[in-house]
Amino acid sequence: MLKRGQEGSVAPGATDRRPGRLHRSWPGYVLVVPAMLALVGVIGYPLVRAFVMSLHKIILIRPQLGQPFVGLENYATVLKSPYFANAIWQTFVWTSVNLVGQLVLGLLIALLLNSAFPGRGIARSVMLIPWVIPSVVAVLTWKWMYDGQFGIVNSFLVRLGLIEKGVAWLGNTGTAMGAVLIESIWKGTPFVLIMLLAGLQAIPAELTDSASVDGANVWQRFRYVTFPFLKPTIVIAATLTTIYSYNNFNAIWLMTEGGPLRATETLTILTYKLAFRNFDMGSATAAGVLTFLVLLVFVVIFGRQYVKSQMEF
Amino acid sequence: MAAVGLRRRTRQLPAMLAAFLVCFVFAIPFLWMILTSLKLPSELFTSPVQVFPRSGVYWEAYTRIWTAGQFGRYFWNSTLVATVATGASVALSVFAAIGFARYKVRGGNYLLLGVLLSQLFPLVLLVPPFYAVMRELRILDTHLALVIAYTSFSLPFSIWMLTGYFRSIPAELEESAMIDGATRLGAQLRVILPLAGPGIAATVIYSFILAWNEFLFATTFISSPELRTLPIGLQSFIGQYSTDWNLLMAGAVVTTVPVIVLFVFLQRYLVAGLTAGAVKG
Amino acid sequence: MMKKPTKLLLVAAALLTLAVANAQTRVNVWIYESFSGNDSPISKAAAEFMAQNPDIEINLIPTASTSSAYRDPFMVAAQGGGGPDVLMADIAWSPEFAAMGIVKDLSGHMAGKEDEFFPGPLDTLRYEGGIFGVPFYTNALGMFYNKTAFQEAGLPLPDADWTWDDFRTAVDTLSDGEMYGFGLEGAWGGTFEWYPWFWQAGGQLLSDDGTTPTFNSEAGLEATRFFLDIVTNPRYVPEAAKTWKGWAELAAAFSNKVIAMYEVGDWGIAMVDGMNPPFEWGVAPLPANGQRASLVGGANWVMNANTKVEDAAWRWLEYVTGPAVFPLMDGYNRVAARRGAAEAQEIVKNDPRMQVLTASLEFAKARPTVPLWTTVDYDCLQPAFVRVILEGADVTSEMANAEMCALDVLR
Repeated sequence: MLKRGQEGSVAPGATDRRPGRLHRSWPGYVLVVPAMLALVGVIGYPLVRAFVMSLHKIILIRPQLGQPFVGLENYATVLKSPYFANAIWQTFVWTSVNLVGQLVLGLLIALLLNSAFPGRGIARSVMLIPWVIPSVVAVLTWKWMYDGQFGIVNSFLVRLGLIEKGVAWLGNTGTAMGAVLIESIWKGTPFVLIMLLAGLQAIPAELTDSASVDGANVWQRFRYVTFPFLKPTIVIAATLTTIYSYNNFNAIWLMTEGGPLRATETLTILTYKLAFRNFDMGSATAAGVLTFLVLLVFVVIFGRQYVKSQMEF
Repeated sequence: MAAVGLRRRTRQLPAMLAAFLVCFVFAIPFLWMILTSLKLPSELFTSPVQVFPRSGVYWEAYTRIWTAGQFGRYFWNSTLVATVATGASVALSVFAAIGFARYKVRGGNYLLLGVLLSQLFPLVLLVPPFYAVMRELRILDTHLALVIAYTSFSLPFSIWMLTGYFRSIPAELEESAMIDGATRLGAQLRVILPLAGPGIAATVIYSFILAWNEFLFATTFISSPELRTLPIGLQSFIGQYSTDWNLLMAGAVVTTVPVIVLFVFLQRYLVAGLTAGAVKG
Repeated sequence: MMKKPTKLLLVAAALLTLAVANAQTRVNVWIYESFSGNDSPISKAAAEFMAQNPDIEINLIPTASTSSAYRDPFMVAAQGGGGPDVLMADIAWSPEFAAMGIVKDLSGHMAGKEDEFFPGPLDTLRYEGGIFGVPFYTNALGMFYNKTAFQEAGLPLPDADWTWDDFRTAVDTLSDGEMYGFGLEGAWGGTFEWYPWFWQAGGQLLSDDGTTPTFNSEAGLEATRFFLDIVTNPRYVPEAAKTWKGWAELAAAFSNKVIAMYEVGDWGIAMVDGMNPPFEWGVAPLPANGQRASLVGGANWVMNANTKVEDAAWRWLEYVTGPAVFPLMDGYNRVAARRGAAEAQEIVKNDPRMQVLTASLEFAKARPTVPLWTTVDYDCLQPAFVRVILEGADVTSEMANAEMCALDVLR
């Protein structure tokens, strides 16, 4: 029983209850098509247009140049720029720390809030707050809390005797990334939490019960019962967290604008700067497509896990 | 009986304390926002930092937000847009997820992966082509533009979440319902929907919050003041030279609380009994 | 003698024009959110204008004035064929809009009117021989100082003749471990506050043709060294200034006696007054170094290139930047960019602090009006300054780096 779950070949809670054979009839397409149409029309079309733009030279402040086709020139420009390499590295740090932080925290808190205790509903609702606060306001509040003079973070740390006087956390190259990451993990964890809580609900209670009757300790119960069941949900959560962190613009832009000295300049920030500060739409969209390709690698690695698990039906 | 209850209570105490601590830490920024909204404007920036309002509680921000802008109007607009977009997104994704989970759709899993790909492109770059599309459709400066955008942007998550969930529900249950004379789709809907409570709840929360908080599209597509949504309303408290922190924080609190209250009701569906019990049965 | 049909046609055309003129023309106008509100001075001005021009309806649309809520959406909308008919725009955005071709060249309308405006603000609208808007209001940087602290330290109060040396002495004396002598918007490396010092040393940012950076000069180095010597001294400028980029933080630091001086324009007066500082304070012109200089800020009106109501829109612009602008700007504590403002505006006549700042307009300069100057500032100058501040990099080599970078951007 436990062994089977371990193979991780299932969607939440399906171990020994595989759905029957799939129906090979046309209604499947009818059901799927409306959503696909919405996606293709609303996101696909602008995406294609953006891709076409990346093959043209489009300097917004030089309209007299027209928009000549330049093939892959924009890609070469972007790839040659030292800022691009930096942005890849910052993006890697940004995305991976966000991913690990949000998943670990989200999982721990989900397990905590899944156990029975009075006030659990309230706790779940309170945990949702960071995610619900409009992101612009949340980010500005954090920026203020980090302020070297007026910020509560510094005031607290000074009172604890951990630092002597206020530090401009967002203003130093060594601390800016960490400071922005804390905000973003704080804001993103509730989303992971909700997904995992939903996933945990699908685990049949008699499984965990029988495991504890068998004398399994907390870790063993998690390792051999909870985790295998939760794995598909974790894979989805990981994939989505990767995507959303990767594309997170507000947190970094409003706190540091990618600074100081590009210490927090991710690909998304670089892309925005190319488009709205340098007015080079061609290079910006090329950077966007490259961003897309880099992320694709991640998603294929994660996503293959998911697809593989689904293929076995 | 009482003794058992007490023992259970004691056993639950560590979890309760831990949960309280975690919640408190996560709520600190929000508490800071509330405290800020209640301080006199002259008490906001002080050195050393002053945590609590010193000279009385300043409620005025909470009355001023309703008169300073058209906050009531923004509230209604956001509610409208978020509700319709959530409804559309959940409906579309329930059908799509049934399609993926219950029917043989050729390349379905790759299509599912493809759905995610649409999220991999920096959003800021989609805005200009998006604007052009909305203009060609002649729906700029309407709520419809926002509903369409938000529905599409929450679809990938919703489809993924629900497909996973539906696949976990045994199909035999539907077959027995069909024997009772229901059509296949009818049986699927009748059986799956109640069982997929947590998945649908998560989807609803996700779509709603996405639409409730979205700023980039809202500020580009909507130009008439009377059509604006809450995030644009909040942005208006952030000025070129200075930010009206009292109003911004009061506005953010007022924006956040209804969603949390909504969740207090919704979170019931995330609770064990409903699904686990049903699946067991 | 005209033939009959032609005459008839002419009459018909005239009638048609009349009919069109009688229908109300709606002009959509973006204004900064901070200018809005019930009974705001600008809505009164619009009402007055509509009373005089019953054929035109002015639709004021207040919009949050941060760059991502105002500049970017206008760029996207105008390039996509939409957007408001006219809008207020920061003087730093005007050259960008002009270069993108999304605002109209108004030089035809402006012919013979150029002398009505201060030359500094007007220059921010000039691009390739055209004039792409109308100046609205203007401001110049001055120095806010803590008068009580100066007096307690036995320092002479800064006046119109104070110099760089006086400033340095004051900063050094006032930095007593409790208070810092100076504060600035360090998140941007302080370039905004640096421009005046650069010009006071006699520097020139760009060659006259606007293509070659010339800031890495003797004068440029002198000013930058002087300025950054002060900024990098942890005794003179608080650590927290590294992330400050809003005027509220500076006003608060000033009012809380964290900093004794900072550079700011007329918008700072109401902010500091609103915080009820427990000391006396004043406004001085920026210290001179042989010559005086300050930095011009403010806003212009620009017209969307897509507008279909150019004539009505122009009539509004003509009105709102005409003599009516003086009482209008009084309502906002701003100074109109129209000549005669100092004599005509109550707020200037009644407030000596405003008089100091208005006098600084005489020698205030605008940043270069090439559309990529903002990029040079952000991508070249700011990193150079931040490297000096954070990493103790050498000013000489960083200015050389910034020059190379600017060459690359402007090419």
